[in-house]
Amino acid sequence: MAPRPKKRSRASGPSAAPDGQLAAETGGISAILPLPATDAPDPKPAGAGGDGSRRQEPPVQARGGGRGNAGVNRIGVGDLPDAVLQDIISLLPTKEAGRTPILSSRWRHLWRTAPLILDCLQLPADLPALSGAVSRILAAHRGPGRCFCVDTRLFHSSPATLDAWLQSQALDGLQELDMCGFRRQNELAALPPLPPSTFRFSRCLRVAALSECTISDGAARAFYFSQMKELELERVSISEASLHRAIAGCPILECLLLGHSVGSRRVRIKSATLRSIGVCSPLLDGVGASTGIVEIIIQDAPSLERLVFPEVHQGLRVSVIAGAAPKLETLGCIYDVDPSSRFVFGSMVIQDLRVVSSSRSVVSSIKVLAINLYRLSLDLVIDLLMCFPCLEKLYIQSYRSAGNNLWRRKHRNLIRSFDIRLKTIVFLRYRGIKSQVSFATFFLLNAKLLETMRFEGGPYMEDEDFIARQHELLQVEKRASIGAKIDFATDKCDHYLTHVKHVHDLSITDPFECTCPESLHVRPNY
Amino acid sequence: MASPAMVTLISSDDARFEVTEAAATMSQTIRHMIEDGCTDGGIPLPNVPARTLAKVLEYCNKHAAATAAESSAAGGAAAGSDSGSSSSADSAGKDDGVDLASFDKAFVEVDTDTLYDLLLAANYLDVKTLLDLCCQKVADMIRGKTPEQIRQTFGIKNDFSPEEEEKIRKENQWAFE
Repeated sequence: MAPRPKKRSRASGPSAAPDGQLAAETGGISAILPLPATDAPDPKPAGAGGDGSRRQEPPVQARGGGRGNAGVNRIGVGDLPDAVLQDIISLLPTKEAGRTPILSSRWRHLWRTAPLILDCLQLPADLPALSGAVSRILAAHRGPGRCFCVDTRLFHSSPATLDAWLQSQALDGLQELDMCGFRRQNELAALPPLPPSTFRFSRCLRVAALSECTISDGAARAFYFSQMKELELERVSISEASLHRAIAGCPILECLLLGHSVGSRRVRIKSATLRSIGVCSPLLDGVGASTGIVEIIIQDAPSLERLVFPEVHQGLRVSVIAGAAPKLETLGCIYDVDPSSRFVFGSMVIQDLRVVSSSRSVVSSIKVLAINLYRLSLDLVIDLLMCFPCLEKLYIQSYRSAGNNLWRRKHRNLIRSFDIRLKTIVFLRYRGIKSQVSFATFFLLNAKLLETMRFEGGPYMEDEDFIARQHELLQVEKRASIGAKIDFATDKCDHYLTHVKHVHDLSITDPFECTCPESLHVRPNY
Repeated sequence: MASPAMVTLISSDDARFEVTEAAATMSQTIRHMIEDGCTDGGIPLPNVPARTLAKVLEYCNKHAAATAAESSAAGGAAAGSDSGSSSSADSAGKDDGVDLASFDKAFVEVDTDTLYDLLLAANYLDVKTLLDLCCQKVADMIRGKTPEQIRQTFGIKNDFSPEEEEKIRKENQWAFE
């Protein structure tokens, strides 16, 4: 999806009022100007007081016969209202936006009152130069602030400086605060406190990715953000009680990404508004003991739709209390490489991706599941399908084969009695080896509702001979769902299966679908 | 199903357009006029000429129909309400996000004059998604260009003296490094 400008901060309503008087006046001026459109219809010399920024009314086209039918009264980009030009400036990268004052006198003063997007990642990487640039931008701009993406190195070198920056008028009304951290886990000792000025945005901040700081119990008591919809805590030191308090301090929170934070071991989720939660694995300290969240308990989350694990989980226990998340549709990625992780849904227990509970309970709400198997096993996947009987979309990634996955005799009864409701199967790292072919054929020949089966793999996916041979081996002609599309595609990126790198990504309906732009695709070297 | 509520819009050059209320009220300005009961004899839009209004309505019709199709697909809640006609919902029934995105992309493939007209109209009529779309288009046209290239693309006349230009460059040095 094309990036869209975020919420407009100026009051809604037309800024070009349909005022006949003004229309006639300003329209008259531009009507006598010949083509080509000049940028500055106001002939005042540059630097004569910056009137440009005050011209709110565009020269509207005259009513009815006023300019006849000729329709030659062309306008230029400079005739657009300030608010529109400022919205355009706010869509530009930080530096390019900062270059617009040089275009002409009409543009001279627009940038400094356009909603500010200050992204440190687009400024010099050298720390003193970066710090200088941020200071100059914040001093020159008059606000409002829209997004401040700050490099945490600046914060660590001088926590007081960041606190002072956050008090700048340029950041008034800030909607998004993004702290980009680069620390390694062994550098996480003695994290500076969250800048106290952060709390001045308690009524405007909508998105916050807080990183590499400490949220003390005192700060957690002040942690209240009435507009916060997306919150990420990455490498943040916070106690269990404070974490619960912080979550409760965001009454309309929809997306929560718990990165590698330290100080809390068990998180209980009770939220009426949360729709999407992402949890990373705990970090291990020097002696291999986990220092972060090891258990997440979904106690009451009536709006929760997605529960995602952005990376290989290790030593993570997840419990969804029976009935606590009736809308939970999307789950994953779950790996089979970590025997210390455990997933509990009511009375169902999954460990190592194997169903280990004795009772045959099912979770009918799950529709999208992503799994990663070191060794591909049809038996294991069929077991999971029985647990999630309403599954519609399955992502499966596998590295090695485990046996040949022959199934005709073994699962004969199952095929007769169990309806596979899968509509989409995406097979990642597909190589077309025998066990994979046998596995995929099971679904092609038995999944009657299948709409798409997609195989992703190396460059051989573009080899016509390979595809023709695969069609034959997979018995595509005999597929149970004759309308099903069979696609072969080259791996598009080197992401983990779950495409969640920022809390924004949690708002995507299907976080496993790769939407990386073509230019970012990294092809494996084989 | 009852036929959908229709409203008449009158452009600055007195052309009349009859559209569904669902499409018309994508404009907050028109929505407020309807709410205030100012619809008798048509809604005058003195700032929008027919050529631009036709284009804006093409956008609104497409999006209103897609919204109606989406909400009726999502549970039939919209059926029978005045939020969309059955015919427009049917025609948009096959629309998905991808179609709408490609419609939007093609919609702003226009010359700069038309783009400015659309921006003015979308701003005055307060059609937020259209305004965002057109702003994004202009931003995409600016992105990656030098100031001189931007001036050429948009016909912007540099009215600074070399000294003034140097002064501004110094003020915003960080942006030129």
